[in-house]
Amino acid sequence: MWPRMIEPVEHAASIQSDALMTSGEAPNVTAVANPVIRTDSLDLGFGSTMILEDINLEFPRGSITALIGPSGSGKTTFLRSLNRMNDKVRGYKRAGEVKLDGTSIWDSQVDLLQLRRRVGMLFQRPNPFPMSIRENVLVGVKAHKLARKSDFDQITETLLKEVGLWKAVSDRLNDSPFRLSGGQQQLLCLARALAVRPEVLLLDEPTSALDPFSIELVESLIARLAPAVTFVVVTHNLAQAKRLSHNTAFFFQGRLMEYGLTTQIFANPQQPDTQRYVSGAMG
Amino acid sequence: MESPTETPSNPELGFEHLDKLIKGSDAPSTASRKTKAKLAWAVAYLTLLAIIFPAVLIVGHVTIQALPHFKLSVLTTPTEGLAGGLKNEILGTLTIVVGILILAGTIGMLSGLYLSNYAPPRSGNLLRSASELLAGIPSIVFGYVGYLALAVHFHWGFSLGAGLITLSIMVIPYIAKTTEVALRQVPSGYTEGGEALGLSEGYILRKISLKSALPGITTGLIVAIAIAIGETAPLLYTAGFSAGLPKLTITHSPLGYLTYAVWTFFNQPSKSAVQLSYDAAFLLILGVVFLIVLARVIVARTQRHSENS
Repeated sequence: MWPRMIEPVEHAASIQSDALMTSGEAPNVTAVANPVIRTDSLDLGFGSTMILEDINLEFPRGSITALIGPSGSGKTTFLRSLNRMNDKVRGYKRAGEVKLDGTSIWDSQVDLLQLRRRVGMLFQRPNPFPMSIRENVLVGVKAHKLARKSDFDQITETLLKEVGLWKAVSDRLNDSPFRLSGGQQQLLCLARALAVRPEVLLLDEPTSALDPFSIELVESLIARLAPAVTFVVVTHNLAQAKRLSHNTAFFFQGRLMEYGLTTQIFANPQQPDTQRYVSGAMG
Repeated sequence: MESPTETPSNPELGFEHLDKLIKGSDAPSTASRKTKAKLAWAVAYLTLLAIIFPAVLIVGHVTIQALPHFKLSVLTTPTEGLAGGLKNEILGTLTIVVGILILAGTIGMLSGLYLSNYAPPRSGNLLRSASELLAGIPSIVFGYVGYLALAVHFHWGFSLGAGLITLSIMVIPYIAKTTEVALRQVPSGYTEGGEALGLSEGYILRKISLKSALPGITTGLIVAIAIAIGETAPLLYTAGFSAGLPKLTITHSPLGYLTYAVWTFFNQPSKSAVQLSYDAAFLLILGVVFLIVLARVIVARTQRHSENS
């Protein structure tokens, strides 16, 4: 167990979702109007190692939240717990709750596959499946039987247009996705994730393997999708967190040190560790 | 806070000290590196030769011995005594191939799947050790055990069932191992990506993992079939021999197979028998070549969208 250096912020995300875009608003106004995901005193660990302790967070519907902090601070473990990707990991232990629209994601009534359809994920390395570009877009739709076969072409086109890939791939929909560039592959993975109409998308360093131009594409896409989809983004790129997110949560040594409006976290951090991290003095 | 560069308080730990310990001039010279590289290439070419030479020798010898007298009637005439054709042996070997694919293929691939995706460490290691042990047992021992257990104890007699079970137990370890390795090599990004989309385990396995592992699994099956059709000893003990066409019953159904002809007829003091022996060897080699080509085609067709294509 680590020394409890500073009391973590208690209020967590206490912001109105419509006030998210405005800067200069005090971070601790009122309770979130409509949190899509909230965690209640969540503890996570593997075997005898404690990774995270007492995490209380609320993600407002339609917002973009950046999770920042040094490597090993538990951000990714936290993110992967939000759609139960850690459940199968040997020795995974948890206490506390994660609630999606008020229902525990570990409730026995919850269908894991439906949960993951609602809370999708994009990974650090683009991971298209070994099937054609078209099949990659449609795989979720087919598996969940979300559409009629006659609509598949239209769905493919709409989604690829949505992520800005249509022009590049419209004449090679039956080709392998691995001939696309890294950035295009990540956009394809985003189209694949969007195809099952998720409410929340968890992004685990989604642009760290991409070139600056692709990063811009992915970021602008996330910003555009945000009101319809809630995003939680783990990032080591502080500039990205600043550019992209409405809220920022700073994780440090297994604790949530500070959570609030991104503008606040970067301009006026309340904790010395946050101050050191966002100013670049740490890490 | 701190100065950007750190000066060690103990000069003994500084770079001057390191310079004394690590001497640039002691690095191996370029010339000796090049000699070593040449040596390594020489060894590599020798190894290549050691594989290619026997293969060319055997295939060449059998082809030269068999082709001049090879007649297509060999395919359509059954063996009569020490002459005739190889129809019964060909059909027998084909029966064994299909049987092995069904019996050993199913059990082997399911074992591999269990070992790679589901087995808890302890039972996984137990199964793996048992499998490695099986793979190390000489084939004649399988034949004798199969004979005692199935042909004698169960009163199956020389039979297709006894032959198939014995051969299957012999080749299941290969299929299980290659399936396990192939499935383990499926990038974790595929499985995680599938899980994150809410795809079911079965869907991920069928549409993504198996497809990605197919080259490995196919190779395992081909090797298993090649071993099975190339084996003589276990079949002599369990399947016996019959000049008649294979009966598709489990028990009391001795059958002919190509290796029987190769092994038995080669030592007979009759020209027709020796010729039949070469014909059988030639057909076996053709069969293996066909399997290799078939595997390549299957792999190429299914890997059009793979990461390495």
